[in-house]
This record gives sequence, C-alpha cells and structure tokens, in this order.
Amino acid sequence: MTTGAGRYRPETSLLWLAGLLLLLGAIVYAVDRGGNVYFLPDSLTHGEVNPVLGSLGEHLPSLVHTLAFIAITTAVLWPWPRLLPVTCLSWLAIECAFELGQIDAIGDRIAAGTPAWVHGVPVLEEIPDFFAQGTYDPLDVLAIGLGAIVAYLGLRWIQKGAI
Amino acid sequence: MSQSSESSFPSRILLLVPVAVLGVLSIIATGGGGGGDNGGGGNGNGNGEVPPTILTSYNFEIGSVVPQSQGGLEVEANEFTVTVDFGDTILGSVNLDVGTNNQVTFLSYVVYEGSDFSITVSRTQTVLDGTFTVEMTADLNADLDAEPTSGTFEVVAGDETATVNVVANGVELSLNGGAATFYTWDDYDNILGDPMAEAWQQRAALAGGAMQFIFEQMFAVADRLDELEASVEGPIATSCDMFDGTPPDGVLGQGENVLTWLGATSADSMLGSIFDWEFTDCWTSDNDQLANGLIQFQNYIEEVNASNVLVRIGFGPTADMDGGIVFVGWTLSDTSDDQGVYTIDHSGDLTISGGFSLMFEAM
Repeated sequence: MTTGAGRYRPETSLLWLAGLLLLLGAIVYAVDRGGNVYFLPDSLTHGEVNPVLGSLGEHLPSLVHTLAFIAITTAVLWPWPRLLPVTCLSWLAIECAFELGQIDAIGDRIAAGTPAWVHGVPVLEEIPDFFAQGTYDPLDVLAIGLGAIVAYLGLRWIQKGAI
Repeated sequence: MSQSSESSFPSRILLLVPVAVLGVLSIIATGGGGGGDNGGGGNGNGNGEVPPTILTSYNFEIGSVVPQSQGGLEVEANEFTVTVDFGDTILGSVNLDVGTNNQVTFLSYVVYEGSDFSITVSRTQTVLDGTFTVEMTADLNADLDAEPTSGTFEVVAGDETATVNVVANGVELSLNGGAATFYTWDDYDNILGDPMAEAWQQRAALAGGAMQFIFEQMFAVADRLDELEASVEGPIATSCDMFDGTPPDGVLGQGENVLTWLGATSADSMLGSIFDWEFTDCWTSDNDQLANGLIQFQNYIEEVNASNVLVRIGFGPTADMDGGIVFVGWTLSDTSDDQGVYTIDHSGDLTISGGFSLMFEAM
C-alpha cells in the first residue's frame, strides 16, 4: 500500500526540479543580463550587462525554460509515460514559435497587430515589446532543441527508474 | 494504468491548461527572452506609464515643409547656391535597434526606387547652373555612417541622363546608356572640384552629395527623437567635440548644442510641439566641421496605436500648420589644423536654410 505522499513522489520531485530550473533562469536574467525584463521588479534592473556566464547566459534561459515546462507537464501526465515524446515535441514547437516570432519582419507585424485590449493587462501588455524588441537568435532555437532532447532523455530515465 | 490514475485523469488533464498558460506567459514575461538584446522599456510592472513599443523598422518619408509645395532645402556658399526641392517623394525605410529605456540606434536604411527630387544650381556662372532631377531607379541600400552598398539613380538634365550605379567600393557613371566608368568613393566625391569634369559628371556627383547631406541631417534629427519628451522638463545641452589644440579665433574650445521645447499646440499632449536645436561652436572632429545656428523642429506628430505601439512619429505639415525640420541660418564651417592651431576659411562656409518634413511610419 502506498501513502498519498508516496504516490506523488516522482511528480513532486519533477515539480521541484522545474522550480529550481526556472529559478536558475531568473537568476541568469537578474545577474547576467541586466535584470531588464518584465517579470523582474524594477529594483533589480541595473542596466549593466557584465555576463558572468559569458555567451552561455544568453541562451541558458531558453534551455532551462524548455526543460522546466517539459518537466512540469511530465509531472502532470506522470500516469501516462508514453506521452513524453508528445510533451517534448509540443514544448519544442511552442518555444520555437515564440522565438521565430521575434524575427524582425514577423515581430513587427505581430506587435502592430496585437489587439488593443491587451494594453494594461499584466504580462499580456508585454506582447508588443516581446515580439518587436526581442531578438531572434538561431542559437536560442538550438538551446530550445537541446533542452527538449535533454528533457526527453532525462525524464525517460527517471520514468524507467521511477525515483 | 492503475485505478487511482484513471480516477485522476480528468483533473490531471485539466491541469495542462494552466501549465500551458503559465508556460506561454512566462515566455512573454521575459520581454524577448534569449538572444542577447532583451528589448528595453519592457518593465511594465512598475506603476508608471508603460512606454510605447518601438518597432525594429519603419518607413520614412521626406517631403516639403509646407503641404503641396515644392519648397525645400537651400545651401548657400560663396560661389553657388544649391536648392533641393522635395515633392513628398523621397520614400524609404530604416532598420533600428531599441535598447534600454527605448533608446534607439539606427542601423541601416533603404531609399526606395521611384523616389525623386530636383536640384537647382545657381550663381556658378557655369553650365552647371540650372535645374535637374534625381530619380532612384533601384533601391539604394546603406548602413548608417557608411557608403551605400547597392542602388541606382538617374540624374536628368534636358536630354542628358546620367546613371549612377552603386557597386562595390564606388560607383559606375554613364551618360545616356553609354559605357560606364568606375569611380572610387573618393574619386566620386572629388568630381565636383575637378575643373576637367563634364557637367553631367558634376551633376551626378552633386546629386550623390545632396543625398548624403539630406540623410546625414535626417539621421541627426532622428537621433534626437528619443530625447524630445525629456526636453519638456527642461533644455537638454549636449557637449560637442573639444578642439584638441588651439581653437579658431573667437570660437569656444568646446561648444554645445541645446534642445529646447518651446511648447505645443495641444494642452494635454506633445502634439504640435516646436523645438529649437541651437548650435554654438559645435565642432565635429570626424569631419572637421563647425556648426552654428538654429534648426527648428516644427509641428511634432506622434501616433501610438491602441496596443501601445508607436506607429507614426516625426515633424511635418498638417492641414492647419506647416511643419518639418527648418534650418534658420544654420552654418557649417570647415576647420583646418596646423600644428595644433585651428583656423577657419570662411570663404568655404555653407549656410543652410529652408527645410524638409520627416515622418516615420510603421510598415
């Protein structure tokens, strides 16, 4: 017989792992990239970009974000391990779509066409800035792909071991 | 599948919705997550007004200050006067980078095929006196502060059509479809001062020089657009280059230019604003030129759409008001340096008057 807590142990571990990965991404933004992003408070914006991680810091958030949300989704879908490939591919597609949306010609169109009602809505109001002022970088796509592959291999191993 | 898993199926599947939403929102909240340049000005989580989103490219239009007029820019020197007449027909686009606090850096520009303007030369007492037209016949592409990399324009005077084709490291000039001759950029610049050059070659060189001057002034003004709002709080003084020796007689060792907001026609916005950009002994070491006088920005136009995206900005005429970039006796003097002592030969002074409208619009 399994206790309630024990029954969800792998899922809980994955959620903790995802939380740590997202925290790592946030720290990279705060320390390595000037803190000038929407989700961080203004008080953390220091403007000076002195990367501790070098060019790695430019792409690490893309990797860990992909990894983290595949981990969260896998935790939710833990009883159905066969869905892992679909999970990885779905997040790969979502993350890549947002990255490709930052290509200048596409991003400007999305920004200009963003519906008016998003203005003033927390987070959603950032849509025009995200697409128009974000920079498309093929290395980010690579980082996302790497994140998806690492997530697939790692989570498959975890599923088999059922930690 | 265990029984407990089956019973939790609906709730677990429903959980995917907030997970997906959270995932997407957390991507957007990075304000351009990844790729180095992270898009400034996105910190909308403060209590202040969210600055408008600036796009990475805009169309531009250079026209006359007065609507439906052929008025333009006039450059007067000792021995000649050159007048550039715009007919609202210089069209193109700019690419830019937006940094922290919406600070804009212009990267490159394109002048579209079909753009045209006319140039009138007077007082030279040579065959160059007269009016000729300049028309882009292929898009002109250039990075900022660099020579163009491609493009073609025609210079038409009477039955003479000179074609200027930009190639690697210079231009090819031809007359009436004849054989083309290659000129390096320096040689092309020097045609105007070459007494052996034919009139069509001089017109071709003058057309290129006029375009260079127009775009230099356009970007000089455009570079100030992101400071306009701050100037409402008080004049913004910017120091110019300091002479690295003895300045010319009566000239400050380090001059300045000052941007001053004079007021707006609208009580609750900056629309219709007029700004003075006053130059006092403003020396630029790059080209050894000293600027004095006034450039006035008249009738500020700005349009931010409902999504808070900047879709239109510039200075130009409206139905009830003239507008544009107006030069009021703005003078450029060449300085020369002899063992650290700078002098000015005022016979080469250029006095610029008139102006042009300048409007950037979302593509």
